[in-house]
Amino acid sequence: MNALSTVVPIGTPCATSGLGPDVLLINDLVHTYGNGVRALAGVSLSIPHGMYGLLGPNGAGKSTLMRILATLQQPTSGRVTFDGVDILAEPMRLRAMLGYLPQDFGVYRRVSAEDLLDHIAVLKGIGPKKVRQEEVQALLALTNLHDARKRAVASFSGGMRQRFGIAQALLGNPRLIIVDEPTAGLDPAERVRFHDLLSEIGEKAVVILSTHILEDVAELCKRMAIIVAGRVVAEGSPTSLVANLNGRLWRKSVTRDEMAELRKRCNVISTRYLDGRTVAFVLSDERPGPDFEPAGGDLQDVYFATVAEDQRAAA
Amino acid sequence: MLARIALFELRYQLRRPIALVSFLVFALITFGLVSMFGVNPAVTVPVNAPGWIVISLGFLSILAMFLSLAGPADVALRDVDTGMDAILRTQPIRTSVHLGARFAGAYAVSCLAFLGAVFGHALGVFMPWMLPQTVAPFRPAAYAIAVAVIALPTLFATGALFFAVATLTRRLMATYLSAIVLLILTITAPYLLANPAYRPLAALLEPFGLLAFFIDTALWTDAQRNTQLIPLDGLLMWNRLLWMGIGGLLLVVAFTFFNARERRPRAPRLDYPTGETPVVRERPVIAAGGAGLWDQFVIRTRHETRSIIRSWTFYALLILGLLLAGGVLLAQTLAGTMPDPATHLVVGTIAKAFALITTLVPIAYGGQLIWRDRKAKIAEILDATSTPNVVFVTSKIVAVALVILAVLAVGMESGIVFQLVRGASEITVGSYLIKLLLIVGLPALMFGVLAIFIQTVVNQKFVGLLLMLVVLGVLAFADELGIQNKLLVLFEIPDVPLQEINVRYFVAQALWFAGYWTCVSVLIAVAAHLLWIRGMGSLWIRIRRAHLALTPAVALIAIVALVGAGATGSYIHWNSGSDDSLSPASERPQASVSRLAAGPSMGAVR
Repeated sequence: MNALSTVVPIGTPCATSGLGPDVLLINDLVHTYGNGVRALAGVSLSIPHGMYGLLGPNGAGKSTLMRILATLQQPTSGRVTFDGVDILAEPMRLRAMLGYLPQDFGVYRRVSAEDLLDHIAVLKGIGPKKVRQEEVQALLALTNLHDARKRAVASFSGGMRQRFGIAQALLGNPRLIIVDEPTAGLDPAERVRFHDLLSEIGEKAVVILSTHILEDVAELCKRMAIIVAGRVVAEGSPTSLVANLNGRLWRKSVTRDEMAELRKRCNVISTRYLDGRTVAFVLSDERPGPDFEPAGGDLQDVYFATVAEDQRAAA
Repeated sequence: MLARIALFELRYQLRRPIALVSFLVFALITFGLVSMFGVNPAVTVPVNAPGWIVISLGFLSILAMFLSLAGPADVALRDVDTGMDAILRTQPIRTSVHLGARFAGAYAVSCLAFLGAVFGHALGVFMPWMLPQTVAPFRPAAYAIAVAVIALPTLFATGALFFAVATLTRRLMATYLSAIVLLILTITAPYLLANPAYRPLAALLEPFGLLAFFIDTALWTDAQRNTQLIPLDGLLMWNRLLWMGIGGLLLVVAFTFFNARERRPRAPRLDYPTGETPVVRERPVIAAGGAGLWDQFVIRTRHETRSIIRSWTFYALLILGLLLAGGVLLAQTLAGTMPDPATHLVVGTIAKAFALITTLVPIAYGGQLIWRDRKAKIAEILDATSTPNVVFVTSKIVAVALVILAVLAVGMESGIVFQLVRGASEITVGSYLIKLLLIVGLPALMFGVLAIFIQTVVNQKFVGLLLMLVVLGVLAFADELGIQNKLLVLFEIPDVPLQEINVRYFVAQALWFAGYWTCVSVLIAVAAHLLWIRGMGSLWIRIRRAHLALTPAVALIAIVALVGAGATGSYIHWNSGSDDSLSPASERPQASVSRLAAGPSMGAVR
């Protein structure tokens, strides 16, 4: 655990967030695949109502965690409860209140958006027919697919298809919504619109958002976790995590040759190219040198710092 | 370049579990066959005589069509399925070189997997339990010639055919259908033997070369059969050359049209802008639970059946059925073996002709239905809904039933039209229903249920298919394997001789068996339901969690089916008076070496 971590122990009331009681409790979740790869190495989280962001590098275990939460995979060990329901022991009870948008999903060919949404609505147990139809129409309007409702979803552009995925995840006003990379493929206007929608939904449900787009988490999520190598290495509100960086992040413009030297000497968490020069960002409690200047720090820096520290610790 | 691509494909195919599994299964089959004959005192010829090696490996090469489905056909389908298509097609390499090399790699792996059969056969001969008269001195040349003359050309021809069909259609189901067409050719070719003028034609048409071998060696003495290596001349040579030529031609067709198919303009993607529609803030709060099990079952069944009806492979199948029924009836009329278009003769002919197709089609569709949602990448969304497993399982079974009914309806309609044209005095629809639904259709549906169960358990498409084919193979050789008790010969319902006066007795007997096997099938379906795949999960995990799907209703169904199977099974056993069945085992249709060798036979798989 590094200095940035503010992991909330399981069962701790979310007094800091002021969001009410915890709803989704994940306790010491471990998952090892048949080939020996340990995707989750004891993940414990307490997720309250509202938007919750999951960040982490590729292969960190996010998707495994999401699939376990969506009842599509069994962990090797651990326990997950949602509002008191043990989702591993009673997956059908969770599915009745679940909305799930996988990262990479497909659709049936030659089936219209309206029909496919109705199909999924029936499978979610939404009825009777009149209510279901109203729900389908409302969601088509909500995701701005109403004009295209008679067209085959397979013929949709990437953005429209993603909107359809969002619509199906919202069917039946689920109380737990799990969305994996939901804004991938959306244009900026659609992304803003989707943010509004998720924010609104987040007031009444637990929404878990896994993404690589840090701005999404910064703008939407009241709490978040960073997962690296199957472990939670940082947890808290984005603002508090960013605040932890205050006074500890430094920047310096260097040449390529100086860069290698700097890496040996300092904890370089990231580099950026600006105007043909390399700017190195260094995490340090003290100013690393006279020519370093304080850097502002944002969620991206938190992410890089967390991942870099973890990798440094692992090495 | 060519060699490197071929090697890459070879390594890729070798890494798939199906390569090793196929090798072992083929080895096990020949090892089992050799041992079975080797311990039988009635067998007086060496099982490793050159002629018998050809026959054994020849029949195995029919089953080896599966290797061509899993290998070369997969080459043509894989890129689109995995999304690698666009990357590979934009490389600066000629299509014929790229595809040809990959075909070569896949073909090599199917040949290697087939060597399992040779290995099993050769190993079996050395086992201590083999009786001395069943073993001849080990001759590697006998194996080498059988592989080179029979297996390799067959694997090439079937591989090229499936590769071409898969390339042109991009449908695994269409590839399955082409395999069924080959089997039908194999089964119907012997019909031409009745007229000596058609013998060469029959020998050439049969894709596996066995008929040509039988004709070429028909006059051999026992001593020749036991010792002489098969010469590559006569009909066998022409058959092999013809089918290798067909294979080569099909590859050229596949390479030529591979790109032509892709050049077809694709409809532009729809793109409606986000627009200014405000977020709907007052959406009704819906509690799930309004749509019941029945609604879910109806919508899933409708979806499954609609997707089948909308696929052209379904209509290709119906046309195939029509051609088969028409062809067989016409052939019998021309041969003079059906002087009278009486219902029992016509329906008997159709039932025999359709026995194979209605057994294989549900197996293919059963597997397809299991994998389709995953292939469409919508499975995770559906699996995360609160729909119980029973809806997914039963809707797929109903869809399989629909396919069977449609195929049989084509058969029935062909028969009735044939009778009308031939001026039949009486058409008994009831006879059609008994024969086609009870004797042919119901077992076919049960094989579909078994296919769904096996695919669910193994969770590997081609391994599941291979296992189903092995089950069929075991059933075909049930007698030889010593399975005398008909309660163990999966899904077999005794035939009803419609011309008999006491037909009611036979119908009653068939109904008892139908009841028994229905109960067994329900138990299999319940097992599939309990082990159903939702998301990811090994078999062991699914077994451990099976109790979660065991609701009181499911338990009740399982208990009723178990009691029903016990009761009907006991009744059948009690009535048979012994371990033997209600009717002699010799009446069971069977595919055996001697039948194909003897000439005209429908050689039903079951």
